[in-house]
Amino acid sequence: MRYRVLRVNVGADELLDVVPGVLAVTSGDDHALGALSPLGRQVLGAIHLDTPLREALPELADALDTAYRSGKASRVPHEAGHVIRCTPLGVGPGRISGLLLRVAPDDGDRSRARTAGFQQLTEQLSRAATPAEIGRLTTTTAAALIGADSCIAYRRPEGSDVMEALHHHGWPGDTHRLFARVPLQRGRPMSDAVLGRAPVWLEDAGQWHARYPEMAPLGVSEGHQATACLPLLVEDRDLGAVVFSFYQPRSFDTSEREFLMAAAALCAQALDRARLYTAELEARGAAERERDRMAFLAQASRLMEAPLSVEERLRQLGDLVVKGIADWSAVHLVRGTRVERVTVAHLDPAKIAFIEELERRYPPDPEAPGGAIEVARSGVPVVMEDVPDELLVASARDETHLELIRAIGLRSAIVVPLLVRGRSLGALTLVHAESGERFTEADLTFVGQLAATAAVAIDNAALYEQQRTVARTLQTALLPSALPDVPGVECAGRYRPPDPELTDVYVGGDLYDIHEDPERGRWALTVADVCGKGPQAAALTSLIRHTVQAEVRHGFGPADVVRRVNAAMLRQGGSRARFATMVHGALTVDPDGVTITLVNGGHPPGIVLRHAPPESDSGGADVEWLDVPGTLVGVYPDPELVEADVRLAPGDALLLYTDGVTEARGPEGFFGPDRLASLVASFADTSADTVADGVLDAIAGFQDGKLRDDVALLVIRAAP
Amino acid sequence: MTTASDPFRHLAVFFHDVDGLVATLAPMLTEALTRGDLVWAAIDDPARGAFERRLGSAADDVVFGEPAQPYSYSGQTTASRRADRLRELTADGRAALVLSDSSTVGGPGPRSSAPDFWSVVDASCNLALSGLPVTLVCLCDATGASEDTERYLYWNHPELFDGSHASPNPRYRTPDQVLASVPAPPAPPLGPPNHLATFEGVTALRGVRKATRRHGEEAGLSDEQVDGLVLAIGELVSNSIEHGPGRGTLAWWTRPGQVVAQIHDTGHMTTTTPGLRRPDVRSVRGRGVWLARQLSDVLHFWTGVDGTHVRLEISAA
Amino acid sequence: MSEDAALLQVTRTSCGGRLELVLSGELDNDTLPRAQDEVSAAEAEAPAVLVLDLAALEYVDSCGVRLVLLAQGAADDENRRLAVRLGHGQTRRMFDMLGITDRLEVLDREEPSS
Repeated sequence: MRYRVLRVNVGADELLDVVPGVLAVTSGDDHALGALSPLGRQVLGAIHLDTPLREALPELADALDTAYRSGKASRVPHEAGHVIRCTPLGVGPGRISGLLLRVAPDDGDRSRARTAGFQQLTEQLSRAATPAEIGRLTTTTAAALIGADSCIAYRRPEGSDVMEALHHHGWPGDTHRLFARVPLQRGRPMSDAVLGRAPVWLEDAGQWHARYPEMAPLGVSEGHQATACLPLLVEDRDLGAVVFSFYQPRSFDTSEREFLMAAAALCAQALDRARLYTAELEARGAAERERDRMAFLAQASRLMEAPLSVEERLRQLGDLVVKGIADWSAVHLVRGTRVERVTVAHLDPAKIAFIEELERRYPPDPEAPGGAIEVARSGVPVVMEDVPDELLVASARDETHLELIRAIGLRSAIVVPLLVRGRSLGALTLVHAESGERFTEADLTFVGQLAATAAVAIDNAALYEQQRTVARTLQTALLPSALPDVPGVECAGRYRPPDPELTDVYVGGDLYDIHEDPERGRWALTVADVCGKGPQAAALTSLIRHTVQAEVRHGFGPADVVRRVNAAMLRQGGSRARFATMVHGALTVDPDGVTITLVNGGHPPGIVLRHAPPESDSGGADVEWLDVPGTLVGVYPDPELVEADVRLAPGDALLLYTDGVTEARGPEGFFGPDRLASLVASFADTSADTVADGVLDAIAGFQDGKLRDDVALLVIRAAP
Repeated sequence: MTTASDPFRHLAVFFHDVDGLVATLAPMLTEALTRGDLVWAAIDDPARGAFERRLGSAADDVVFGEPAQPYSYSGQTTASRRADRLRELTADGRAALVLSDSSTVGGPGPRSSAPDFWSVVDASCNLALSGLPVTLVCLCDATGASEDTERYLYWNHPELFDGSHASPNPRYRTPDQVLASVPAPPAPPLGPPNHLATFEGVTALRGVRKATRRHGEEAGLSDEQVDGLVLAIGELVSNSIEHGPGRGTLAWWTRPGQVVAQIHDTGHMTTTTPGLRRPDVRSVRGRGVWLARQLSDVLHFWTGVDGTHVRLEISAA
Repeated sequence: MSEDAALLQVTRTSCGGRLELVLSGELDNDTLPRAQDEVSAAEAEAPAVLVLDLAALEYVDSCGVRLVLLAQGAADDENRRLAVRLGHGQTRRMFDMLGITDRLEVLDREEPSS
């Protein structure tokens, strides 16, 4: 009941009739008794009118004085949950003329109980960390504090117009399905509270029917009468709502409203805190996942650089994927007009066997939409957060097939194309099954990066295939097409690249060269072996060749030429150490034979094959090793080089070669220098070409026809 | 409802030649295409060719052309149209990457006012696109750099992109600051109008609406367009009366299929951003101009010593 | 005043706790004050449900939007319910464009099936 201002010219007796629980009316600062009701006589005693209550009831004196002076009601405890309330009477503020004493229920108790309840609620809320816990506390502790018989707490997900129930209490089990997810719509009490940002108070069934006739039947179901819907707001953020229901009608007067709104505000703040905390956890989790993903991508990158075939690399990638980021993986490649699956992986080999058997029985449909084949062709990724059962049904040929597909337990899938330079080379499929995890759009970036890594590797490999042909042509171009005619000398030069089945692009580092220095009437000959393969090695052989030619033209002797080649290589620099071994000589011809001034830069020793005198009893020829010491080229600034003279009599030959010869490996081990020596001996007195071809054939035969390393040979024979 | 940090990003990229431009931007485009974002490139033909060559068949997914029909003089309108179109396209949650090259979007006649026009477009975009999941990349030709470059490049782009990462631009100015320094230029003169009327006080509104309906019907606009025209003019004249001196003139140029109306009052427009931001659903005021923009093809405000002018154009669909 | 009355008419009906104001004619800045007065008078009676019917208006612009939004705010603050009718023409289109339709209780939200 609300109290209106008591008008002063209502007589004391009239007050006795109007005010419930009235005991007495006083006047003046001595609190002279002006009127006493029967109840007053009972409670306070039979006091005579005009007696100052200060004297008659000294235990009330303080309360009376306080009320009179402050103009605010005071109270004194009375028996069992009641108080004696002293309310000021007067013409206006500050003009108090007397007091009204009455008995009232102990509001003080109630407000003390409420204060204690708030403290308890605050404490419990501060310990709760998640929105779910806050929801539970709201519907239990807060509801109990308020005296609600049933309660539901909702959260509003950010950006959503649908409220989700966090927790409910007091509603029968099956009804809660009705309000598990409630779309916001004006014209319903909870929605109005949220959208209007102001509570909706329905004090009894009558108000329900008056204001929300459509929803009243539900609202007053299960015996509920009064309902209060309060939005949970922090600053201007909507976090959710709480709906309190009561079995009795309830007057939501000002103090009641303030009380409920205070409780709701506590819950709202706790919810806000919990939401920030959850968001922080998620962000941290995301950052960790991101870090793990970076590490994963780094691992995948390294895999893609391994010296393995494309299929093998993709297989390993598929295996890596199922160790960390998915239950299943598969890679498809576009091959001409077809799309083929290259690999499928799972940690459990039995599952792979299952899939393979399944596909044998029911070969997959290449036209199936959303499948890897379509993605490989179109280049458009597909994310299926939840693989819908309809999709499985659509791809199944019959009931058995469907059962088998379902048995795999596909939960979520993501298929991305392997794109490089705008072309789709295939598709990478990742599937979550038994792990229960799901892929989302957010995963596209990461999986896309993974696919890009694989795609580049495949593309490079494909390029390598093409480049090998180019390389062979290039290598040939790097070698002199024909050796010059040296009068009185037979020359034979040979170069062979290694096995064409090797996947690396092979532009090798071996070279041989003879060129004329007409100014000095000599020829320069060179055999060199640059470490490494590929275009950088080819560039270095080119450098060597051209530096030699230039320095020879300048008139430098062999040792100086090699020193200058060394300097040029050092100047070339580069991030990887490059070195070469080379043997270089200046050849002069005279009527009696050939003289070669030779320098050796770390290269395998040359062999001299002496013409066998017919009467020699060795049967073979005389084979000499040319052991000329010297430092590798391209490493040290000041290589130690020695010039040695070799004299070839008519019929004698000199064989210079690269280590592809001696290090050729066959079933019997290394070819080795001894075998080479014997081999060369067997070619005594044959032409330079015969020697050269003979050595090559022997090496090839030794290695079962497959050369591992490239081979360069130069045979110089003084004409017999 | 809580707003997350603004997903709208506005970056400037400087380039010296088309190849450099393509090299700088290709990774960003590839990534966006892999993610399935909408990629829109409003760029000139040489640049388009270069991108197509670089991206190969991936370029099939790139939309070339201006997201909205370009308006030759009204940067406000251009920005507003882009925002509407992009809002539609990203309504399903998709993000969009838009490349914008100043040479493609019309541009006014005299070259001297080109930077001002671009400044208005860019500043207006900063307002109109706020809140949308759009990354707008403006391609800035570094070879033609001048003092004007300062205004339309550095003031309007919160971030600068160098090919590998985006860094904050310390010279950025807010749209309000920019538009205060670089006011919208006047609409091109049209010669004498077919009709000229004056209005004064709220009681004039009814008559204005009747006349507007007549003009719209005479020009052969559809019923829905005529309703829209009446509402738009109603809002604008109302505004003039309420916020301005209470009276003004309304000029009409009509011909079959097109209506141009221009309102003039001696008041001064207090906002630099007329109707560019979609009004907050909770605010009670400030909706009229935005509505007028949605209902017309071109809406252009400019203010000068003689007061405020608004030009509205609507053509038969 | 009579001229003014010709521009905008407000018809009021009440039934139980539900009070309906049907506006017809033209609602603009000229006639808005009178419309606002009618709404305020209705609000003073604190009806459990107040319905503003704009469907019959020949013209309404953003001041009509303002009228409705103010009424919604008052209803929320005063623990009352507000509903509107917008018709299916220009008025409804305007509320849709502004994104407000979904934040109100629109009694004639669905298209009439004809």
